[in-house]
Amino acid sequence: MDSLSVYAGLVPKACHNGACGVCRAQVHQGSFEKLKMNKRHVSKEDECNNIVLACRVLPRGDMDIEFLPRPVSKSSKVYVLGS
Amino acid sequence: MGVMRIGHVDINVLDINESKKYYENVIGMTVTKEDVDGTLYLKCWDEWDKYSLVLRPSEEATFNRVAYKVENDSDIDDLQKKVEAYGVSTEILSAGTVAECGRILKFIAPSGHEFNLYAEKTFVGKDVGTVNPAPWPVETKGIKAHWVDHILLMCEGPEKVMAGTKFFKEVFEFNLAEQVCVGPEGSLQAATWLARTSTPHDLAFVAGSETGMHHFAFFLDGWSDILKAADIMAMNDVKMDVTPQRHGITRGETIYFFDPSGHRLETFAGLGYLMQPDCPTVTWTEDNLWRGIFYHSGVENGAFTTAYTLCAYK
Repeated sequence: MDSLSVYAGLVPKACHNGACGVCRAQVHQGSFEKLKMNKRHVSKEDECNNIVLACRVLPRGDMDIEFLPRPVSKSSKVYVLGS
Repeated sequence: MGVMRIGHVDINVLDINESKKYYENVIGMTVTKEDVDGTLYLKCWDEWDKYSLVLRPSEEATFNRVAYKVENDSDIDDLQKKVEAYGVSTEILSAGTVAECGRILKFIAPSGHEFNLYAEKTFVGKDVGTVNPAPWPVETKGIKAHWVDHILLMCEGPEKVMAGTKFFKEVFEFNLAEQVCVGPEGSLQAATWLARTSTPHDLAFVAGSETGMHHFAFFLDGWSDILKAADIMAMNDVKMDVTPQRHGITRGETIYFFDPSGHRLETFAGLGYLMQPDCPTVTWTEDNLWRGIFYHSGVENGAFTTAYTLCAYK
């Protein structure tokens, strides 16, 4: 994740290990291996559709990925400290 | 007396073996019990009850609940009446339902989180014993964390922060050490730090977009231990969120870092200051928010307040 940080503004990252889910991404192309996904952020169906948490993906070549916006929660309009 | 201190934190992890190695080798905890399903119970060397952390093997990296210890078994009954009178429903779990614990008072606080209160947990003693003890145990690994010190929980917006804060002040007599006030004339509490011990916080609430856990913290003695802990984290390739730094809020000396499932942890060092029931509440204004959070840099740090562990699906 940090090696992607040359594009820091484009790469949502925080926990680097799965809990926070901010790096949820759609893989369009490229081969990769992956670690266990956090099902709270990536359902089995998501995984079948190549949706991943980027921090738990190990690229095996160039990849074409698209970071996904955070799902809109029912409380998306609440004041969030520090945002 | 009611609530004494934080008792244990219960979380789900993605790889139980990796988590075991991490909490043993980096944090310096000891596994004191293991269930047949792989659930692990761990304690720090300076704690005397059986465990302070529960790690459950899971498909999720999520937060389950936090437990606080009360002084007497009769507090369970007294506090159940107070919680119910406040309008929050409760459940009593019989002794043994929660591993190594006596009766449990279980409820969902107005903050949105599950809390457990208990009076009894199996005593095992500190690693250094109680007769002519050494100041710290040589054998302990990693950063030699003393104890689980506090937890910071994320609430859906300031309304839930205020509801949770009011509840813990009125029902459990927590004292409000510090607050961040926002909105018109600072009328909304967007974050609060609450204490039952003589330190500035045993529990904190912060406004976020979803209910969850921002971090829980391990206590270290002081700044030199913070520096050494950061060295040990680097030696173990631990992802640090915030390298050694001082908080304006609580005055704590700190490192933020992540466990192998991405749960944010903190090492919190120093007393902060002596917290007492008559200690005046400190207020931070919105324009000084980041000075309050990171006193030296005084600036925003990435997704520090917006990325965190969510509560488990019920």
